[in-house]
This record gives sequence, structure tokens and C-alpha cells, in this order.
Amino acid sequence: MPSYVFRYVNAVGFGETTRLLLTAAKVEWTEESSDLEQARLDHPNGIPVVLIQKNSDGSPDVVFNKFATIERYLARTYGFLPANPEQVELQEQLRDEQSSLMKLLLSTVALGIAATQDLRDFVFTVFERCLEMFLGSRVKLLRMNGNTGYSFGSTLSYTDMAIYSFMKLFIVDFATSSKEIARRFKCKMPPELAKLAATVESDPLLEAHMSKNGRFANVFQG
Amino acid sequence: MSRYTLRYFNIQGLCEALRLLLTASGVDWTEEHPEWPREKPNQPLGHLPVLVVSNADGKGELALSETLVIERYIAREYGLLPTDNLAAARQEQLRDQLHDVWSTHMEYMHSTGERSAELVTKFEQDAECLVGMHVAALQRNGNNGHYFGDALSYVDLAAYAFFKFFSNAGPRSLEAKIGLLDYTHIPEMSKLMAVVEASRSLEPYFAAEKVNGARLATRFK
Repeated sequence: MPSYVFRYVNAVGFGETTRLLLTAAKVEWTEESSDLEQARLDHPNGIPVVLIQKNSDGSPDVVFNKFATIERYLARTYGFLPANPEQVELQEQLRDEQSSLMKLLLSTVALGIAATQDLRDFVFTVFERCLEMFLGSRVKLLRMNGNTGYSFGSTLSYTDMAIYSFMKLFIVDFATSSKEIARRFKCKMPPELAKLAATVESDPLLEAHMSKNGRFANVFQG
Repeated sequence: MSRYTLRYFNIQGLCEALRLLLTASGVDWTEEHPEWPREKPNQPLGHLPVLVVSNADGKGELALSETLVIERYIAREYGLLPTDNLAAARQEQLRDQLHDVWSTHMEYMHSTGERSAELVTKFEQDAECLVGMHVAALQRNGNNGHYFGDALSYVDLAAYAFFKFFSNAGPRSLEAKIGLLDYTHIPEMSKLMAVVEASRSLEPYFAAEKVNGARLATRFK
């Protein structure tokens, strides 16, 4: 059975889906984190990520350094993507769309944080509109699945973990860097996505991760 | 047997690798160029490309969006990506890297001021890294013009499309740095380009290009 080393920064960032996949896969894995602020200074053009898959004797087998490739590989290898090609397509499409939106939202936020109040207000308006479009499509998906808290069927999938990670980025990471963004994000959350977050957090496959790193879904209660 | 309709603009843009995949797969496919932006609301996610997969009687079954998702679907369906997860991931990682550098270039084309300068630096670093990694991969495979094995594969086609794009990236391109991706100065990549162009399964693609000329790289004029 292979083991894994995941190298990234000590933040949610883009790495949470990988952490959830590794945990849910019940494989042996460790994380080597660097400091977020130092990483931003060292890598102004994008913080690198590395996943090393090791053989059973501990020797490195393969090294991945692209988030999308890492996630799809883990999801396929450990059964969090279905066998049906069309259903795989749908989950991968949702994920790629989410990645594009995440980059847009983060660029928008970066523009707004250092700007005048007028520009910040404009940026926040754009942020909310993009977010609403995304949330609308995900609510539709969850309702089509009977609002069970899962995107497909009744078990944890790649899409569930990706959506949860997206929510955690804005609610947890932005709680320190931009409380306004975190607040606006939380206000926009429909009950269907709040339920997804709670469902993911209570999934037995992720107990080890949630116990160590905490939960956030309770922010939607009350 | 499924039939495919690719909706995109009549440029290389995001879709040249996909055109090569569809041709190499030997499937029945056509291309539409929707009136834009008039047709934007009629697309599944409001953008192009879209690949419509129809069954034998021509009725639409599935409409796929997101370029790389479409590519992987076709590549897997028609054997241009291996079934082994790890082998497939090795190809996908190389392909994702090509897409990232292409995306940086496209962002540069739309940027101004300080952001433009940042993107030039990013492009330079990422392009140098890309060439190093891809040359190493081709060398590990014996420099036979393929990244893996001795048959045409997904990443071979994606790399061909990528280097073809940068051989004529059009106005507003990163002219100072485009030379980093000039395949005529990279022997291993020149070999790949020649091998792809000699591939029998791609004869219809190159025959059409001979008649119509190569598509423009982008919509910028």
C-alpha cells in the first residue's frame, strides 16, 4: 500500500480537498507545511504544492505538483469518483468550474482589500454576484439529490469534499485576512450548502481530519 | 456510435488539442461557431467550448463544458489515456502544466500596467520549467517523439497544440518571451511535432489545414 507526503502551507488555501481525500481514503499520509506568509514572499507567482507517493518500502514512486491532477488521481484511485464515465465527467466539470471561480473570487478579493472604499464596495458586489451564480448551480444539484447533504447518492464524493473545501477557504482563511469577505460569504450560504457542510463534517471517513483541524459548519446555525 | 459537435470560435484558442483528439479517435464530429455573445445564455455554463455528444439518431445526450474535462473524456473513451490511474495521472499532470502556461499568456493578453509586468516574470519562470520537464519526459522515453510508449497519446496531442499555438501566438503576445517556447530550438519537441504530423490517424486534420490554412491562434486582431 503506498503512503503519501503532502507539502503545502499551513492554511486551508487550495489544499483542503487533497487533505480530505487522503483522510477519507484511509491511507498513511503526513503533511509538511511551510508558513503561509513566508511562502507568499518566496513564491509571488503561486505557492507550490507537492504530493509524493511512496512505495511500501518508503522509496518515492511518483511526485505530483498540480492540485487538479492530485485530486483527480486520489479521487479515482480511492473510489471517490464513480466508474461511469459520464458521471465522472460531471464531477470533474463541477470541480474545474469551481477552480475557475475560486481564482476569480480570490483575484477580486485581492483587488478589493487594498483599495478605496468605493472600489471595495464595487469589488464586494462583483464577489457576491459571482458567488450567487455558483451557489445557485450547487443548490440545484443538491436538491436534485433529495437534499440529503450529499451531491450524489448517499455517500461522500469528490464533489462534496471540493464544495466543503471551497466554503472552508472563505469562512476560515478569510476570517483573519478579510472579515468582511467571510461575513458576506456566510450570509449568502443557502441551507442546502449548510447541510452539505454539516454532513461532510459528520462523515465517519473524515473523523480523524475533523477532530484534528476543527469544524466550521456550526457558524450556519442560528 | 456517438457523434460529436464541438461549439467554439474558429480559432486555435483553447480547442486545438481537442480537435486533434477527436480526429485521432476516428469519431464522427463536426464543428459549430456560435454567434457570440448572442448564444452565450444558451450554453450550459455560459461559455465555450461545449461538446455535444449525440447518439446514433442525432439526438443530444450530453453537453460537456470545461475544456480539460472534455479532453479527458474523449481521451479516455477512445484509448488515448491509459486505464491505469497512475499512468493517466502522469499524462494529465504534463497536460495541466501546458494549460497553466497557456492561461498565463492569455491573462497577459488581457492585462495592463503592473499586472502585465508580473505576468511576464511568471510566464518566463513557468515556461522555462515547462520546457525542462517536458524535454526530460521525452528523453526518458528514448526521444522517439512520444512522451510514453510508442503510440500517439493525449499528452502528445496536447503538446503539439500548445507549441503550434506559440509558434504564432498573434498580436498582443509576449513577444519578448515567446522564444522560450520555440520548438524549432528544442530538438526533442521538434521530433514530437514531426511524429504527430506524420500520424496516419491525423491525416484528415492536416489535409483540411492544407486546404483552409491554419486557424488564427486567438481572436485578437
